[in-house]
Amino acid sequence: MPDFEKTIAARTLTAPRRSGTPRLRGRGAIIWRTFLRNKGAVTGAVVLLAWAGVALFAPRLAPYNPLDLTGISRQGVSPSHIMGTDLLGRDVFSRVLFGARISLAVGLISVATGVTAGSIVGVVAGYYGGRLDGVLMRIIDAMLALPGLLLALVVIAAVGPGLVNVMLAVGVSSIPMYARLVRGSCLSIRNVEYVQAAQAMGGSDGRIMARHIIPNILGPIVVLSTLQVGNAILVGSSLSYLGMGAQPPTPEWGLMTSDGQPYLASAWWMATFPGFAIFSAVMAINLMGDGLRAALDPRSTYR
Amino acid sequence: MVAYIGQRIAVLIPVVLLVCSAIFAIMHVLPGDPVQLMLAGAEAGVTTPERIEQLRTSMGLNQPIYVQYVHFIVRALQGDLGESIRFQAPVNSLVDTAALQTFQLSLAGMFAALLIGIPLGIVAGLYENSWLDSLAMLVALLGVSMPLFWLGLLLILLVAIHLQWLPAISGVDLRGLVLPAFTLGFVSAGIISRLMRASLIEALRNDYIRTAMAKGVSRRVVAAKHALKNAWIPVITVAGLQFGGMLSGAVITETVFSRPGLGSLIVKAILWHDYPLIQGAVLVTSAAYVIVNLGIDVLYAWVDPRIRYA
Repeated sequence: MPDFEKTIAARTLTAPRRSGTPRLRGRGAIIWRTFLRNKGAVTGAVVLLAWAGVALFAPRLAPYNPLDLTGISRQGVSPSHIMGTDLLGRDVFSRVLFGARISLAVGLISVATGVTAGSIVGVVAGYYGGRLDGVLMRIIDAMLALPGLLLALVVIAAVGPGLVNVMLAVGVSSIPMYARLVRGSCLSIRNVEYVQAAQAMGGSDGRIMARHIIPNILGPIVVLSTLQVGNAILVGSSLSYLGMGAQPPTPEWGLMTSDGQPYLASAWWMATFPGFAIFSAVMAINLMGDGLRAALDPRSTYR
Repeated sequence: MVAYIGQRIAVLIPVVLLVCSAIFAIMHVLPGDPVQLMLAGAEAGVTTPERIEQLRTSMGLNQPIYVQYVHFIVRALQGDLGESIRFQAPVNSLVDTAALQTFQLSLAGMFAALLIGIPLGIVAGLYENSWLDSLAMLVALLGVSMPLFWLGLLLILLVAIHLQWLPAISGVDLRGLVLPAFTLGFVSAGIISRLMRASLIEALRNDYIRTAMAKGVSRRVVAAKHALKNAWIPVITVAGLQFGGMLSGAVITETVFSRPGLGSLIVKAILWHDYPLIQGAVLVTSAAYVIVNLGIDVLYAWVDPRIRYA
């Protein structure tokens, strides 16, 4: 990278966000190029796009209806059932394709829930500080007194099993992470000039938080959220595997893996393919998220 | 040091009270009668109005909610977790047995994580950007991307069913612990190896390494005696945090390998609506997690005194 680009990168990355200026395009281009140079990240993005396509066009791509009894029970891998059939004779391949819809929805909705709630808690705590900050952070500490999956289980214990409740549970269990990240970033920019200027001009607290603080700490939030979609899919499918999430006959990957487990010795395909689907989707998101983190990290543009 | 420990414990008091309150609230979030839910879950529909009334009285659910709350907190602080509906037995004894199993599994998982993670991290750090480094990176990536239950099933399929080297179901002997331990430790192995690598690379860049090299000390001795000694500290901390996190992975691992333990107990208790058992098991798990993390904080402050004054 030429030297002048490095200088621009160094300047724009510390400057406040101003949309529509040539500077921002320069920064965007650098981020984009760093991302494209990362083979893992591009592979991840392609696989993820493929899964998104599968989720969108599942009814057209699937050879059978995921709920129909299309063959004999536990029929092995064959041209007519490329991933075999399950206990009831349903086509595993069609069910895996439809499962993409559920898992991607669980990932996106639970992350949206967590990032919204967590960011509000974090920005309020960080901006106002003082006693409110103390109280909010004690609540967050209490949530952190249970490791990830157990916090989600506690939410399920309170609201009952089900797919919608899984999204809620996974979202709630990620609140502490976002709240801490946003609070930390907010503390670091609370007293910079443009925030003081907005205060001096009489901007309301809500406006300052929404228009000046949140947009300027968006980078780390985006990176964390991307990686968190993968984690949300993992935790969500784990809950369904445990019987806390999707209920039969929903074609959910975790539930399908659990259904196949007793027949592992005689019909390995029932549990193996849905599990691989989870793995490939989560791996794609992790690769892409890492690439995004590297591209958005100001230090990495110097390399 | 004593002051530091005291200060850490003081911070925990409101946290513990909040956790107790949240656990108390589990039973009261859903609208409807928890007694009927519990009996439907535990005794499969053979409920009579007398049984409902009897359970309501014995659990104190006919009292005002603030009285119930105070009773719950007081009893929890005294270590009395009530009685399980399903097992008709004290929650304490159920949880104690299960906790021992989970502790054993977590220790074995931690051992597996260190056994894989440390050598892999050291090799990756010493031979930066070699194929060994790529292998370590791949293990770390697989660790964070694989669903634990799927990894467990693949291991059962390969090692227990096809090769028949190890049993799939945990029996009394230690051989049954190998696959669950490996499954549970795999995620942490990846994280530990990445950190070991980064920490070692950083240590190798120090001036005293160059000095030692200049004096003619061999590369192997420099790595083992000078670099590794300083690379340990962050690894120990993260390994400790991972140990706490094992409680989370144990829920899945215990279910996959049908092991008795806190995790599988909580899952079953939720499916049965056995509220006293859920509350007791969650409370004990959370207490264990908090105590492990406190222990690590204290250990870290003892190893690195700068922390105490930060």
